Amino acid sequence: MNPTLLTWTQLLQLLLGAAAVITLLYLITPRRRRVRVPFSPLWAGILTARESSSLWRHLRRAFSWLLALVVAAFLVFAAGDLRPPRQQQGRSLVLLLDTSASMAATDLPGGRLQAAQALALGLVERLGPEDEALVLAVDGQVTPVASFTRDPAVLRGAIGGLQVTATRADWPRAFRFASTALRDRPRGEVLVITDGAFAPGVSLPTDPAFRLLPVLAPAGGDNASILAFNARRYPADRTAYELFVRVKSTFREPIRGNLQLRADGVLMENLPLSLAPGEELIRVFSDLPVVGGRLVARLVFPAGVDDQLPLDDEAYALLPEGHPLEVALVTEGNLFLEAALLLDESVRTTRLTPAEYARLPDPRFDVTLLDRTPPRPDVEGPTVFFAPPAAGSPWPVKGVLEQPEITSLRRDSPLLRWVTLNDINIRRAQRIATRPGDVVVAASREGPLLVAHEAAGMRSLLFTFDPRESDLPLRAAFPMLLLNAFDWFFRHDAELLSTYPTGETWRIEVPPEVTQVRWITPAGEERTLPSQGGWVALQGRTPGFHTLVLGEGPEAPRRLLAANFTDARESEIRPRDDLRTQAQQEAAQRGQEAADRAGDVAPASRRAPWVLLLLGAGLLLLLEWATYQRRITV
Amino acid sequence: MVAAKLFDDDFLQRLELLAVVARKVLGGVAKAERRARRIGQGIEFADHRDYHPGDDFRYIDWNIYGRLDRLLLRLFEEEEDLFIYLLPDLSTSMGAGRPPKWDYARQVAAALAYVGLSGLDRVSLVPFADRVLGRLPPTRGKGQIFKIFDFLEKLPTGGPTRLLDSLRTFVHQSKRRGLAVVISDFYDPAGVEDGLNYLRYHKFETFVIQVHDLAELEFPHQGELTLVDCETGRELPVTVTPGLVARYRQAHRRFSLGINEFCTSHAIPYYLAPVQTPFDELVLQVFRDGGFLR
Repeated sequence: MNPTLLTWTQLLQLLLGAAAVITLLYLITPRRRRVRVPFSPLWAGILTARESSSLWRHLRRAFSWLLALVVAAFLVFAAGDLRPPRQQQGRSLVLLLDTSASMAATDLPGGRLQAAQALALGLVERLGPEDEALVLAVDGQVTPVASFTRDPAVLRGAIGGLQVTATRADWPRAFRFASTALRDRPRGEVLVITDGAFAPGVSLPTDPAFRLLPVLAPAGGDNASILAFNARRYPADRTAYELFVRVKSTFREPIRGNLQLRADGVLMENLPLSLAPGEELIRVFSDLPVVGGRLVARLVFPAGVDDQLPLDDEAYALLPEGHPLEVALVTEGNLFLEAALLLDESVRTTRLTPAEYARLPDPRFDVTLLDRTPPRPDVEGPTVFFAPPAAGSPWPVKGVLEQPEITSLRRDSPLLRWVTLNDINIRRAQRIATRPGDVVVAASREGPLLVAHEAAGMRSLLFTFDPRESDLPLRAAFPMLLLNAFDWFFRHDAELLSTYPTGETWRIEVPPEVTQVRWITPAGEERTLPSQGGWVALQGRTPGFHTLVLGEGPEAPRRLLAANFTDARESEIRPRDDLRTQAQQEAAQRGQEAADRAGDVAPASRRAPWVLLLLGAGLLLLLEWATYQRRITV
Repeated sequence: MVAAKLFDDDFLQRLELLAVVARKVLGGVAKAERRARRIGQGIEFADHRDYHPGDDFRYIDWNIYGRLDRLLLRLFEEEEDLFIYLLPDLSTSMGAGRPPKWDYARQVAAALAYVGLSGLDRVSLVPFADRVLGRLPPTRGKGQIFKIFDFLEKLPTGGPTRLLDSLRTFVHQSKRRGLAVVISDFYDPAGVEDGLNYLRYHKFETFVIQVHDLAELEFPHQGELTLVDCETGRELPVTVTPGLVARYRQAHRRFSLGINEFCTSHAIPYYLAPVQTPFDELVLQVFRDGGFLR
């Protein structure tokens, strides 16, 4: 035994001091009350020989004194945190617990996670008094839920609080984390507790410190999952959508079920499915009466079909509510433009001459197309300029470009989605000088031809040439370009990227003036995230509808995000055969080691000696109290 | 102050009533209304004894001689004035109690004295502690009761109890034998047997009244105490527990029982008199039991 908080010298001094004080207290005879009695021989007669014996009185007083000394010694040793010398240096264990989506499988009683927790708790119970353990939850991230500690209660609490997330386990990162954590620690071991549903190519490090402790179902792996679910709007009809669903079965026999589609809770489709083993099924729904809202796809199976991973049976998508777009076309007459706008049924066009437009008292349109017309200074809003006259043009016109050829394109621009402008012939274009906020989408060597401008939250698009002086209106790209422009103006792109994969980092574009975003998960948990440069990054780990509150206060605008767990590999919940074999070997080895070390660590030995010392002191005080009450030690 | 309370008018009235009641109980009519228990020259046959030379042969029972051929002397109870000696204990231990035991003892002594005086007996008071503290010579007649009151009121109190020494002194100072009523708590470390036997051996007809206070048995103190004997000053360190108090009660009971057994075995009338019992009740009890006076 060695003291850890005090030195032996300090401990001895304390002990001697306490003994001296106790002895002094015992030497000081308390003054007894004097009571006159009429006949003392009566009292003397009832005092037994033992009680009246001086030797006995001295003995019991000495006994009481010894008890007090022992109690003081116990307390002093407890204060010094007396501990036995380390017979053997403790182990440093890192428990890697798989909390990825596959651990939600129900092919084990209580689920795979519960089995893993039970295994981990069993390990904690077998830890020696000098063993330390670190618990890491491994899913899309590696999260330490308990730092290195010897306290089994802390470890039990950390393990018991683990939850499955709809993400794929990042094992390489977890292994690196564990290796780093064990650096400079003696007798390090990494115990990997998983269902063995490793991704192909992922395997345990060759370091012998790593050991696999799998929780394997005897016959698991039957699962049907929605691997993709998305919705997109028809380019030609802004009020119509089509839905895309991909379903896969890993059952070992054919199954039947239903795919249900709901919009805002209302069942829209209940499609019978028949899936062969390993079959992947793709369905596109184009004629659904959907106008917008929250879409949920769900796989439903009859009784008898045991889908062992319910987590991937639901998928989510969002649709912005469509509404007609009010477009003003200001032109002296341009049939190409009118024809292009006619292609989009969601666009309601108002044709105005420049004079009418100039006289209009309060022009309120979603988009204004100015064909060779200068803008009104009092009107703001999304605008498409077609070769605006130099006088009144927002861009300085420096001259004319003759027969410019498009030589550069910003292919990543949303304006050019599904659009090809490579071989456009243009007779003449304006030579302009760009302004701050301009992004040149298409240009010739001599100058810009298509410029996207964004400033103070307002967006506009400039064609430096008159479409009629090019063959662009004759191409399919022209109406698409206009529709893309409308989407870009109203940020329909972001809204249409309706589903985000769980476990990955989502970059969400937000208004630049928003500095912080409140993120509300489907479970109702809230977190505040900073926004930088009009973007916010977050990692969703739960499928469902997430809400972003852009700004502060109850009136702050909200944006919905649909998150899906659509990881085909993670939905493959059947463990790899090689891991199963490896696990069996590991289990056999572990069983042998456990047998070898049986009785090596008794749970009681983990109890700190100071606790026992305090208990001992308490018991002695109890004994002293009892003997005092029975007048034995007084 | 205490004496004034002890013997007030009310006390006197109770004594008078007591005397009347005692007379009914006893019913004596002689000159000296009761006979001393003395064998002498009376008229009432008492017993026989062997004839010894020198005895008055007039008292030889010739009938017995005729039948048994033995000379036996007829004995008669001698009629004479009865001497009543009242011996209240006024030692320090008798000062304990509520009321103090010595007050009670004096009241009892006064009551017995009054009854005795009423019967034209000769009453003498001999208070004692470690010695005889004083002596009221034998007096006769009810009129002497105030003298007795006065004597009792002015008695000194205190000191240890030495029963044998006190009674030995009393015996040697008293030429006439008679009733000796010892009123005491008998808290004598040397015991009571020798003292009472001394009285018996000297032909005193002895009565014992043990006075005690019930409150003494309810020892109210607990814990670490030093018990100090109020007479001897002896100190006894003791830890008083409820168990010990119970044992003390038992010991006190055994102590009283021991005196009682001794008295009974030696034909000494014995009365246990708690101070909580009214003195007249005790006196009546004494008379009812008989033996005190005949």
